[in-house]
Amino acid sequence: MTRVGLALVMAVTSSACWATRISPSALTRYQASVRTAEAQGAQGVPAARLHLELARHELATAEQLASDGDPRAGLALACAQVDAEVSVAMAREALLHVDALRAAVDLLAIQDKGGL
Amino acid sequence: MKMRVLVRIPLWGMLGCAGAPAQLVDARDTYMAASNGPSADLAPFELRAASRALDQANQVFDRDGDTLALRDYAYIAQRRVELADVTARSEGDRQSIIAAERQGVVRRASDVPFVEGNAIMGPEAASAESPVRSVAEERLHEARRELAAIAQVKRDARGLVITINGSVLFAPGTSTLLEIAKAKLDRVACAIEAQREDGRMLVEGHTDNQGSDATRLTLSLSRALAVRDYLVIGGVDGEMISVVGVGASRPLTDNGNARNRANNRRVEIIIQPLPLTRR
Repeated sequence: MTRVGLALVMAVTSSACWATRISPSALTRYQASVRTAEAQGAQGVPAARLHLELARHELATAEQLASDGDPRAGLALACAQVDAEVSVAMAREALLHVDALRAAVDLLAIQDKGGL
Repeated sequence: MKMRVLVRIPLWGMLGCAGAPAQLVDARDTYMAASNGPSADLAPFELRAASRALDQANQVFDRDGDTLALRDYAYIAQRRVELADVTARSEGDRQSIIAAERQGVVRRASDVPFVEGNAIMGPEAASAESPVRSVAEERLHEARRELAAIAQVKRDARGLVITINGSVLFAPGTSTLLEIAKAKLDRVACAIEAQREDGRMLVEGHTDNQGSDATRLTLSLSRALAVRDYLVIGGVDGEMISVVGVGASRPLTDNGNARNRANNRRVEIIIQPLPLTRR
């Protein structure tokens, strides 16, 4: 586990009652979501890119809060996680939307040819 | 059979939102709009997750008022609603593509690499496997991954068997679901719906060998009923779920020590394969 990850875990295990619980797996899960978003082409989809940038910013916030021993570090990571997930979903949706538009165009071509 | 999403009429919607910060009000309004829109039908699982996130934010507000933490919870709830809406749009596109294919359209796959789990597939691999089917497969993969994170999953002659340890679900000696258990069962229910294909389910309650036969049978049945009832509340068709309590008659391992007894105390949710006559 990285030092940041350890700091995040310690921040939450010693935190106030309302802090979001976090485990090393939460940090791993966030990193996996970011990798997935990037691999899905999030950088090429403006809305997905925005959420990816938000996720990175929130992770930086979580790291700072963890360094300060602030129990809100876990919540900040949770915000980063959800933004990473939204980025993934938006990148995938962009792919599907392109395919749906292509299918609609192709269907019109079939109909024009009297195929239906 | 589709899981029904109960569209809730929240108390805060009726009493007004006096004092709530803008972030929480926005999250509530966004959820209300989503729950009355396509997301209710096309992304019920994601909408349920958004509902839970919003519930959590509301609870924090009721308990602590307007705090920095509350705004984070409201942010997360808002994003969960967005996720439901995006998923609904994807599902709408997917259905459009399928409808077009049924009318003779040959699918042209996107050029952007498609990711199956964490493995990156190049364009040639993506064209060989339709992203439309891959989205469905990926949801199934994610559902199985979710299940594996909170329960043991295996396939045997009975079907797909999801085993949840009893200590995760119930306080010792009781059949009352723990609050934390409900969140797990929500995730189990979502994962089940992703792969159930309208098959029947059987919920089996099991105990260790402590106590009398009658006590064990009663407790195991009560626990199975509690799990069944919670799944039904969540929208699973109760007519598709059978329950049975088997006491200690089918242990996973011997009851020789505390750990083994804990493992034997469990609930199994069995997704039964469809009868051949129905295929």
